[in-house]
Amino acid sequence: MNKTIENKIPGISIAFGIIIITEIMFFGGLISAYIVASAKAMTWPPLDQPRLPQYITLPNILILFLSGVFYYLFEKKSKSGIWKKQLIWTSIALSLVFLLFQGSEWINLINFGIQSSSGLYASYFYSLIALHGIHVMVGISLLIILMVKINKNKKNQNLMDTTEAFGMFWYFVVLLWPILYFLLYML
Amino acid sequence: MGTHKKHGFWHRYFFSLDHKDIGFQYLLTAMFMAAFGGFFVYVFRYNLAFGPSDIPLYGDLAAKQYNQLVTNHGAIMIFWVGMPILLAVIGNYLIPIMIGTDDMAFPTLNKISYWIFLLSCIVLLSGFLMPTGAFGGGWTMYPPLSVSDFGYNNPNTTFWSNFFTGNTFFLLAVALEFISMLMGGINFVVTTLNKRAKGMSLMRLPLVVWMVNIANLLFMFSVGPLIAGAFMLLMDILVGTGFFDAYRGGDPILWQHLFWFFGHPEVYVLLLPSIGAVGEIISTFSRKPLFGYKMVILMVIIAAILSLVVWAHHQFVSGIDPGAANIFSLLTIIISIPFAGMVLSYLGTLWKGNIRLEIPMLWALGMLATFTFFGGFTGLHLGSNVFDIYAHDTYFVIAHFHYTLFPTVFLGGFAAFYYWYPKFSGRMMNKTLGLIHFWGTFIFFNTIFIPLFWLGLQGQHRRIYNYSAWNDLLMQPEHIMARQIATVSLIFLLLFQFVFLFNFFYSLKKGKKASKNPWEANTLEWQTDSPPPHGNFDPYPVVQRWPYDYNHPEKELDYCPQTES
Repeated sequence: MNKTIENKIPGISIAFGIIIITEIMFFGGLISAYIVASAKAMTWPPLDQPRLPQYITLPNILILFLSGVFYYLFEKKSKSGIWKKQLIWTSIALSLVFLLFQGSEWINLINFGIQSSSGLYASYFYSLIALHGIHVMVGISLLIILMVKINKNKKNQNLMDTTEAFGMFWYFVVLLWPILYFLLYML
Repeated sequence: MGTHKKHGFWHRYFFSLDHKDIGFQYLLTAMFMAAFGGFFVYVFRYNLAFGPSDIPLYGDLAAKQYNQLVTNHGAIMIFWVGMPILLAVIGNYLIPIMIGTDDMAFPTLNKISYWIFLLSCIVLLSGFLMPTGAFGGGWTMYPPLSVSDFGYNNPNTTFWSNFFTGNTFFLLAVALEFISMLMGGINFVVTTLNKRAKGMSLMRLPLVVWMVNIANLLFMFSVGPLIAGAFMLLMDILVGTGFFDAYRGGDPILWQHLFWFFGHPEVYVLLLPSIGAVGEIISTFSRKPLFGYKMVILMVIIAAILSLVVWAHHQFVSGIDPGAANIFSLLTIIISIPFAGMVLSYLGTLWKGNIRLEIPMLWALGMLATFTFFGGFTGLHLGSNVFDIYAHDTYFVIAHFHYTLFPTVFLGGFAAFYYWYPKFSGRMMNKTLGLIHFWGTFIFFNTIFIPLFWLGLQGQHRRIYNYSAWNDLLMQPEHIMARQIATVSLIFLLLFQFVFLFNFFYSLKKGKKASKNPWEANTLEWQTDSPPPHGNFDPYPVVQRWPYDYNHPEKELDYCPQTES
């Protein structure tokens, strides 16, 4: 076996930490561009654009947040060696509900006449929502990969590290949404 | 160790997970791309000096093709030559053997990163096959130039007709390249943190490992906004959003902010690995400890952080607030302080050293001299908004950034190449050919760009395809002469690279066998066989000291490997 220095932080956590820094800078770029664009405009949202359904979308924050909470509970239990798969299933189910909700709203808005080519406001709205949606999908696939790994082997040290690293990504996606909601729907 | 067996050709070059093979794949691919970059620059420089018709090996050059060649030359040299050679090749090949381990932390991810890189090369080059030709809007992809033909104001295009254009392919290629570099970069950082040999504390890491890692972190920190911008630009082209369309309330300057937030740190991403390798070489061939090792690391971290807040010095004439321009000027000029500290430490290493002028040392000294004296000092001038407004978009700027990037990528890259070639191939390179290659490259590199400094100060604008159309515009005999000197020098520079290619393949087969440690250096890679076997070390080393104990007073030899107590 290769003699190495003692591992303090598992590699996969470092990797996901770096990914999240890049993600923060990525969304930071988009969000700051959006804020500057909205500050420069005379009125925001522009007068000729339909208003967004602020209050109907509100429960969606709760849904995604709950999904994060269930993952947190799962992670906490996993530290003492108990793998509660129901918790992850709940987490996945809630995030799917979130996606469906947001997706149907998207399609409704397109039918309503907000199109990405119609102006800056809609361009930012659809891009940010879509990019966050893609991140939710990536998160869901990570959770499914985790399920598969758990089914294969329960007593693996790597599994705990993986749970922690995927958790970092999932919390990032969950916590990003309220910020986006505030900026896109309330501002 | 016994489990690591030798693989056949097919397995080695297509499915190998060994970091050394992947490094070699990156190297060959980057050399292949460099051939394209070099050919493009030959064509358009020939056109600038001797006119657009009957270019040998090419034929006639139209204005549109000129733009495409200039654009792709810039992009290829930075993203497909500089980044793979300095980050991927140095990182892949050196990190595991310098920290004393068998392979990367995630070998499969490493392999995938190479294949994505190869795909990005193919996507970029297939841009030339598109019906509208390759992308020709400058490597910085400023909108509206990068969108206007297709996205904006053009009702006759569809999603798919916009997709199959040079613009889209260019953006996709850059995106794929970034994904590949991100995967590689994550791998390097994790490997360095978690797979070091026993006793290899962070302050015992060789300088080049530090530098590659800082460069990677800087890259990953700065690339996010550019990916965001690239996504927005792609949406502008494909589905007609209006992020950068001033007519619909968008802002073309926004792209410049997002691009240069990445673009300036990118220069340091290229510089740091190169200057790290140069540091190793200078210390080894001066037979002296690296002067101010900790200071260099500290200075580099400061420079990396500062590089994130200087981006708007690329936009002094783009209509930014003059007050902001003053601040960005100041920050830009402050950045020269950490770099001055770094150069001081290298000069301190050379001072009264027992200097051996081997080929790698020549390249390293050439890199240090030209980068500092021409690249760095003209950077101070351009960093000041007062002067930049005068020199903006002239050949002065071109000469400046080629004096920073050419030493970084090629002089530093060749220094590293000649230095580690015995380790990588098990054979020494031919010294006479090496000398010819060095002097041919070094002299002609300078005679290309010194005339361009002068032309720039005379006011020659960088975006003009053919000066003969404007007879009152810099068509005096001395201007024509300066352009021709630059172009002829370039042709010689390119010809001298064939000496290198010959030497590379000739020495691979027929060179003198190299010993384990031909340069009498200290770092771990010189303690294993040349070339290192699959698995690198047997037994794995235990590190006892830092890497620069040359001429240690208690030791008989003038060097002392890191494994020696």
